[in-house]
Amino acid sequence: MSAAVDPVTLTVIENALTSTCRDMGVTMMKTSYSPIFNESLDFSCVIFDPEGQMLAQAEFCPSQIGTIKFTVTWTLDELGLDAFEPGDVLLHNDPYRGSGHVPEHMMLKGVFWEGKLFCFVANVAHMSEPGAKTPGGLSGDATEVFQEGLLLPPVKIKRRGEDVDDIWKIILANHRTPKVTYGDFRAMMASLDLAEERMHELLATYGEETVRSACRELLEVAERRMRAEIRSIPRGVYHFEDVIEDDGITDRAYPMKLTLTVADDEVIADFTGSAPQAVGPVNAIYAVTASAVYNAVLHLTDPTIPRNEGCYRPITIIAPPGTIVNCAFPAPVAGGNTETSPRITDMVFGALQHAIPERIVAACGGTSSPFLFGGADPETGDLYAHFHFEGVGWGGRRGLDGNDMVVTINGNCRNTPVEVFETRYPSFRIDRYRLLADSGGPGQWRGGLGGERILTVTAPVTVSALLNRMKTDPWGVLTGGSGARGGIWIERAGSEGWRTFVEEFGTLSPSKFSGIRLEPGDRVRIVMPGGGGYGDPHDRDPEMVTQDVENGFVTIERAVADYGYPGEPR
Amino acid sequence: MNSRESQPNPGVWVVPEVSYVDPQRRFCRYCGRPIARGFWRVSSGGETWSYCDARHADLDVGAQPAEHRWQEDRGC
Ligand SMILES: [Zn+2]
Repeated sequence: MSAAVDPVTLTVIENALTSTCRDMGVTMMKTSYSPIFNESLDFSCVIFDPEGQMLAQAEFCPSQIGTIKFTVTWTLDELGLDAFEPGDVLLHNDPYRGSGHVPEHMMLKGVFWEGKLFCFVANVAHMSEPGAKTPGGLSGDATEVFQEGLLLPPVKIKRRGEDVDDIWKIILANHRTPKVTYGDFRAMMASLDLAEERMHELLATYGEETVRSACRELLEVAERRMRAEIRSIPRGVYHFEDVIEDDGITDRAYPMKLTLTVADDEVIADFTGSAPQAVGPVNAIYAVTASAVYNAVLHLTDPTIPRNEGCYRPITIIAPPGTIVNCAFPAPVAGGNTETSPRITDMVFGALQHAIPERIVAACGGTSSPFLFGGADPETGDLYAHFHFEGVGWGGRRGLDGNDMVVTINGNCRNTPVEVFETRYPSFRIDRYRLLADSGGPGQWRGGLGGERILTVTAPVTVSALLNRMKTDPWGVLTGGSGARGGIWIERAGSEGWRTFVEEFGTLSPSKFSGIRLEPGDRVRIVMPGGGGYGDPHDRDPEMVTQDVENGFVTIERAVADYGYPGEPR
Repeated sequence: MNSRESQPNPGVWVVPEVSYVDPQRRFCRYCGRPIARGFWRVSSGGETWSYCDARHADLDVGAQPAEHRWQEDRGC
């Protein structure tokens, strides 16, 4: 037993750990090459103890933060602690070893203090080009994980501070954009180096024993507070079902079932009864499903609880192997992390809508709207690839309308500004980017608005998509209405009228496909779904309906039909 | 899920070698979590099951001893 750390020191150390994670992210943002890093911030940074317990995180991508818990523990289990030496950097992206999906690469570095391993610093980031069958990966019609990019089990990309050249060569030879991969990997390494330096400073300031005791105590505080929060949810067994509408290969839907048990101070999320794993890339691995549940529970509970392993201890996830929520090797998984993940998070809210109506939200647009593209720059001949994602409307919640066009609930990322998009890539000009009226589900608290983007092709380009919510609605809660669906359409050069990719190219799914070649003058229209509404629309303050009409968020026709506009002023 | 102490169920903590030539893909019979390497092995009535840890073995055997929740053992 170690002595208790006084509350002031404990708080200082807690904040030092969190700000170290934040600084790691800033380093990646400032030093990386790709817009998915420096604009979209599709990365996360964490600290673990040698037992694989997460000590700290910062406000990055929830799906990555929950999943990295499994990526790191897998690495430590598979290799053993003796494998780590000062200066080593581990690299890992294999979904069947706990990574969220193939593009997400984790780097892990041991922090040593006075010759002994003290903790691990780690980051995970979505590489814009993972060496998949089509540029950018996330191929919407992949049937095996091997088509989704180069799989890397935990391997050392640095050994005792020196690059392992053979590993670098294999990766750079397999990615279409080696310069970008090189730059982004270096940014990840710089972020780890910074974290190592910060941890050394902390240890030098407070001493190893105090920092270790504080970490232990913070885990206990988080667990105790999370259990208390769960105790405030009425005990019970709650159910919810939702569906993944198709998988890019077959035109069948994949139902997901959740039985959520709130038992005293624990939550058990049981997905028994969910559909068998999909043929196409909408499968979630166990870590993604668990991460999505963690995301929901963290949304529903006190945000001031220290974000560490203690938060997760009271949460158990049961996901039968071989299903869409815990697929078996070698099923494709790319969309599990971008599409199935937000659906699972929403399912937890849906299950609890009557138990804790004051805390839950209606369904968000529920798709990252992955639109991948790549080709050769006509001027330089350099290959390029990009993973473009969009915002969606978020669900209404008590007291507030849903956010408009914010990246879906598992992402917490940003979109790529039009100027950057057009400057960095030769293939598209953006003609329109706007919010869509009437896309937010009607409700006392309206769903957030989805949007529309129209792009004109300016150079030959290969595109892929892995969108969702083109066939099913983002649902409302407590009699709130559904948000509008999304989708993607094409208008070929010289022709008029939007057609689905099924109609134009014979793809198997209208929203999940890969490797379609477009020519200059072709136009692509992407529509992002809105969020579900919360509560009866007729209970909405008439003044707010008037404002919605004046702002162009709701048309007069829908205001009359959905809200009984104009209502009596309150 | 690091509880590796001995529990009432008749199990043992096993740490097999990791093979890339003949990879073993195990899942916890209680929660479904893929097992990286070490696992809690329970042998009973001629059958062998894998678990994340002893606690999950207890929960599985204790909750539904007669019939497994998934009806069939997939990979454990
Ligand atoms: Zn388990």
